[in-house]
Amino acid sequence: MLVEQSAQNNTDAFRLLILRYQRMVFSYLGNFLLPVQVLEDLAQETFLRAYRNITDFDSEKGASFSTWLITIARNLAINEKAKMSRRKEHSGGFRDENHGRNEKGPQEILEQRRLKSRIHDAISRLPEKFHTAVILSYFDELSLEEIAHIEDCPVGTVKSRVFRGKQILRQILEKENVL
Amino acid sequence: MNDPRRPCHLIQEDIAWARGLSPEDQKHVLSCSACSETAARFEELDSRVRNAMGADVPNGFADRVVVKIEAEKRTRDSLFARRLPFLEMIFFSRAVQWALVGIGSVFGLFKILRFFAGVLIHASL
Repeated sequence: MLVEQSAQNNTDAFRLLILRYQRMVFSYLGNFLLPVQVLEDLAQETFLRAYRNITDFDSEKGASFSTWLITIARNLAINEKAKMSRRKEHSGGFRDENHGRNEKGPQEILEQRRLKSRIHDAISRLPEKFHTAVILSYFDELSLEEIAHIEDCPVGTVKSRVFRGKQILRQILEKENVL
Repeated sequence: MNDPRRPCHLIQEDIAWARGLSPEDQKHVLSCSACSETAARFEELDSRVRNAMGADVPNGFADRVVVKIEAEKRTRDSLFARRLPFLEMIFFSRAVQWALVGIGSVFGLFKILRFFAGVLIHASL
């Protein structure tokens, strides 16, 4: 309903769609270890592209709006990571921009932030074919079929990727003494 | 899901998927040390990761996106609808877009054929 209203240039309806899906998009993009400002820019661009192309979105093709949105976010994030890697070769490291912010606060908050960033770092080190499957498996709003649609692979492959990906993730976190 | 004799690796994939197990599989997990160990390991992992993945959405994010959308609309309206309604009619029409793609493809094909024809003529001379 909201998607159809948005397709008729109803920005109020689209605003409600943003409010509904913004947390999911930020959570997903958060796993690409991008600087905070870039993260917001990409999240904005995800919704802008979705709005511009909303008439092309066809729920009858089997994809839900969330699946479609994640596909847009994924493409943007992969392109941005590639751009940043090229830039990194010239000017050394972007990771500090994200995690090196000198925010002062209680010790526990800092510790939590560190733990969070180590987990994000571990997720980003997962091999590409497990990376997306593992991240998306944590979004309860996405079904197995929807993830298979995003990944363009059979449902059984998604399940085995999630299983193997989580095994690897656990190994990484154990080595880092996070688990 | 309903087969009580499902192999452990399939049950462990369902454990990793973390959207609940059938009663038969739950019974199996309780009696199988490998599956119960997998369940415990993934549960700990999931709780840490879910905690880390909770994203903070910046305040006013939705409003900023809507402001950008409105700005884009205004730019488009002023550029096309007011000054160049004819161009808007052309470039936003699906039929015209497909026609342009078709013309481009035919032109490209013609150039390729002409190139190969040129090569063949030269070779035969």
